[in-house]
Amino acid sequence: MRILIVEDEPGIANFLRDGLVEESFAVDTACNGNKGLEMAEINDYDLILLDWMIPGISGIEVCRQIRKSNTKTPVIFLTAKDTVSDIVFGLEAGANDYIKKPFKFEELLARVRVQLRTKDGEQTVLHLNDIQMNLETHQVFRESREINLTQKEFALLEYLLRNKNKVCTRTRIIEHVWDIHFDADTSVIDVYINFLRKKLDIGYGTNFIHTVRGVGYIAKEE
Amino acid sequence: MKLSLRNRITFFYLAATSLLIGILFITIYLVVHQTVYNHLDGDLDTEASEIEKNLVILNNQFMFANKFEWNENEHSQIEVNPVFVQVVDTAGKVIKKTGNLLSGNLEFDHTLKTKTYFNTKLSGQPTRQVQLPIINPVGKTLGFIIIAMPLEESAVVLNNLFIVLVNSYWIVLFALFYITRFIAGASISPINKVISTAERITKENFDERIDLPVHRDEIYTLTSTINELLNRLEDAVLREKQFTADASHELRTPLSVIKGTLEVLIRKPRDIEQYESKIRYCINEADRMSGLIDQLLMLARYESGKLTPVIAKINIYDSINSAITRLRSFIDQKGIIINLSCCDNALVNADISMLETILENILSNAVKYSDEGKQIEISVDKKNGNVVCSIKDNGIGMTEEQASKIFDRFYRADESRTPQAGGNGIGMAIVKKLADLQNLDLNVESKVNNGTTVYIKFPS
Repeated sequence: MRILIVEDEPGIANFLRDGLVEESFAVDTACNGNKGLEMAEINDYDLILLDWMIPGISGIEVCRQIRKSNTKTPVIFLTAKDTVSDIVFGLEAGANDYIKKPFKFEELLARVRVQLRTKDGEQTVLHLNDIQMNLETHQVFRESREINLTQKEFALLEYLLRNKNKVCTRTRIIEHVWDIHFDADTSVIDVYINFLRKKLDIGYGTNFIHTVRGVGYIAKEE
Repeated sequence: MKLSLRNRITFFYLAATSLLIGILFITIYLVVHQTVYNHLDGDLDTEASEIEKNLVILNNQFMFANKFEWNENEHSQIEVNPVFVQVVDTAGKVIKKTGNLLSGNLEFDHTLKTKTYFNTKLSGQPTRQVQLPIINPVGKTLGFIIIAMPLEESAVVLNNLFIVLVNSYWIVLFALFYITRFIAGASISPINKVISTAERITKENFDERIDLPVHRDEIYTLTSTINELLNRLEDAVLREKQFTADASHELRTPLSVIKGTLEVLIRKPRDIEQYESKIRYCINEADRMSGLIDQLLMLARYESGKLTPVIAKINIYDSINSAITRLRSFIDQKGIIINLSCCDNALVNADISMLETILENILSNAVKYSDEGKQIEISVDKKNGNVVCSIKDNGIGMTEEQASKIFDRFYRADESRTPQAGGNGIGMAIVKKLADLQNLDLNVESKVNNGTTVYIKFPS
């Protein structure tokens, strides 16, 4: 899952990024409205965290511009403006949620998950055959045996499970699992797919991640 | 006495008018009174001169010529305009009198030696009487002629006039009271409108203004003066609101950063280096915050006017050096070279600690926005008797618009350009405030990528 943070205060952007990366999200940051809008239009984000008062064009305007071409990506306002009229104004500009500063990181995380869940119409627990993936507790089980995954492995598995039975192209995997600073060398995907296969398949005999030659990978339900 | 403006106007107006009308009525009465008596006295005179014409004086005696008609109607009757005549000797003994006097005599006052008019009564009826002496050629008084006419009609006229005037006086006053009250009420009603609008204006509808009256009169001036006052107040309130909002935002941001960083930090166990670096980061943020609070308090103290500058003749060279010393580590850290040139005997009128704060803040900005290894030139010159200190950096500079705003509280020129500078937007506001307190002239010249120069002009 890839998230864009548009926030001018570097301190806030930093801890948000650190916290979200730990939760296996790929995170990009933009420090002003113009940059944020540009990034939102070029890249395919799963969620955007948007500060209202930012240099350049305001968060409200960024949100409106995004909504002109993209009605799907959830946008969450993150702002110190806290009157009812501000909240209404923000939501009417096209935002999906509104978090008042100062906020608790746990709450922000929960709200981010709500938006992603609503977007996909899914639960916080993803299933594939006998694999169970709990996004909130960050645990992965196969036949009730817990499997430890690194952040990237977890993010890759999450993306594959969210798109189960669909072919995930290498480009889309890179876009959604790695952030913008990542060099677009897609061979890293193969490395991580191997890690996943090792951790999840060894001892079970069934191979649930299938390679679609020349295109990407698919997680198939059997 | 606590009276409303309306009642006060009514009261004063009424007092003045009642006095004037009173004087007018008294004058009218007196004039009519005088006219009536003059008229009567004239009649008495005519009669007297007629008698005198018929008077023959011989040494110590006098007698009447026959021509005087003692039995004329007016002298014999009492019903229609009677004229009573009586002649007495010096002792008051009646020598001769007209028939209409019947048994009564006219009153004689032996103290009156010259011609005198007076009021008296004859048989209970008011009369006007004249008494004149009969004098022989050597000046001896031989007797007196007394002539009387009834006063009744004139008295009635005067009495009626008196009653009419007194009654109408109260009626006029009564009517005037209500008319004045009404007019006073009508003329101050625009003021009441002003009051009710002014009362309605609170923090919530501060943009409301009092409607201006059609005529450009005093009320118009009052209204527009109040409106202008409201404009100024609204500006001040908005500025304060903006300041409070900015201050709380500036304080909340580092707090959010500290809180968020620690929240993320504590979610998972980490190695010691990570803890150390994050805690150090939070300490820095807390330092930044307490620095901001210190500066805000300083600004508030200066703005509340509790601190007054102690102006003395001080050597600016020493102040500049002390500011440089205080910023030494920051200057060295960026490898900035400072060139200081100062004219001889650079004495200025200023408060020494305020001046040092000003110099320190300007200099720290110059260092902050200069690239590493650049030069900063400080020079002190005398121009037309004024000492001018200029601090010139070769840093990133600003646009003219940005330069015009740098003294505003919480203004920072384009944040994204120098995120590492980390100012809080208060320093230059303090400089401006302190300069104003000491009557120093501040000027900023700046060009993008071409450095900024701040000039401080001292009063001579």
